Amino acid sequence: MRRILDFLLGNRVRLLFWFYMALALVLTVNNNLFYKSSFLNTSNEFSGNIHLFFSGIGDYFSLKSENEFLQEQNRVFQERWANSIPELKNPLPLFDNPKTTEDSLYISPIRYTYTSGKIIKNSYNGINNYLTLSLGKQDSILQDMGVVNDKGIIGIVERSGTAFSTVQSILHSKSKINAKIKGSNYFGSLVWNGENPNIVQLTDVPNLAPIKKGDTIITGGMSSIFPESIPIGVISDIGLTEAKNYYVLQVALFNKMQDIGVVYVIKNFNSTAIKAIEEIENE
Amino acid sequence: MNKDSPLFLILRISILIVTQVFLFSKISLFGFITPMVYVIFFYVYPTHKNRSVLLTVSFLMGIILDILLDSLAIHTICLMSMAFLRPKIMRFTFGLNYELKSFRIQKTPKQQRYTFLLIVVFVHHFLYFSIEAFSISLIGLILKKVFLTSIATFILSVLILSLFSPKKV
Repeated sequence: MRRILDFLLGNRVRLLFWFYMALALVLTVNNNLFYKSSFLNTSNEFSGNIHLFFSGIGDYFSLKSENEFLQEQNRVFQERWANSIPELKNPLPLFDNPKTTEDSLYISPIRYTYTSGKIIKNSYNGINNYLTLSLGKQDSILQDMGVVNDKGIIGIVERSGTAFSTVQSILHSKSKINAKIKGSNYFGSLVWNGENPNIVQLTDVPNLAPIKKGDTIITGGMSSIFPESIPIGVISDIGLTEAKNYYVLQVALFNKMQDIGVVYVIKNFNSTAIKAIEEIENE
Repeated sequence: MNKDSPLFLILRISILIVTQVFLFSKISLFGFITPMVYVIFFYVYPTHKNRSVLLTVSFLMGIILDILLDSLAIHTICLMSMAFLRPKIMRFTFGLNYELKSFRIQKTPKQQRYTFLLIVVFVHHFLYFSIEAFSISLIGLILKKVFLTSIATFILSVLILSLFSPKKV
């Protein structure tokens, strides 16, 4: 007994180190595998409020540019409205409120709703980047909703807390988004190699696809997260995989990932129905 | 106020965390260099204090940084390793002087101090970026990041330390 005690006391620094190290390693691995279930992220109240406070200070400096941008966007919508076909001006038939419908196979006439929010913590330097959003479960933001702004896509909600959520940025090593080349039906997956925060890669496009530099890349609409034709970027460089059967396209993003303020979270009303159908297919 | 008192330590750590999260983490030189200046904690922390306390303090600091920066527990792992390795690095750079009870980093020659800081920064950054990428195929990217970020952190740290060091008469 004495010798055990002596051993423990004599090696207490080393034992303490290994104890803390094991704890940290468990947290890292757990987070990597089950990011959604862990406390180590910015969607909790503690870090959310701290980030909200500090981002609130910076907000005042961008008020003017934000204002001008909104005016410009308003002008575009006014113009589009004035030029649209009169029949389309009738609002969508709201025969029942989609929020109250619990039927899993119910197809809602309104397919997507947008909720506006703010990014209060941005990140673009690491290999796995997460953003913090000032919306949470109380604004009915749930996991796997798409996040976009006026210029293009930003990411997917990874975990939602009560008042804040974390968003897995498209600048993330595990991010994989269905995208296609505008004007054609060739699809690919959008990934990021960790190098330049302004350039992402479009892979899995067959080498038969007619492409050239400057072509626009948009979302493919093959997932229940993003609607079709949301802009992403333009092709800046064309390469091939080693086997030469698929393209690796470098895509320069429309968004400046370093400067993201107001964003919209997309809720797909039919995602439950789509998931239910997919489950039936898998059985 | 005594510079080694626990209150002063807590104040120092909170300042390091706040500046790291809200200032240095937002810097992105040439698109990818983000200095991690909080490693000067290992420079300013008193030398011959209880090592268990250093380990515990590093762990807590790492966890807070990780919660605020969404970096899994990578900062914690790096800080823990550095807290464990610090005496070894000190013995390597300062030699026998380090064994003396009256030893203080601030009283050693400039070259030794900066060598110590450089080693701490480099080892920390190497650990951080390797664990973050966790893939041998990204070794080129990791080395590029380690090398350039270390230089940026080192220069910033030296500037900050000289700003807050006591005046020499």
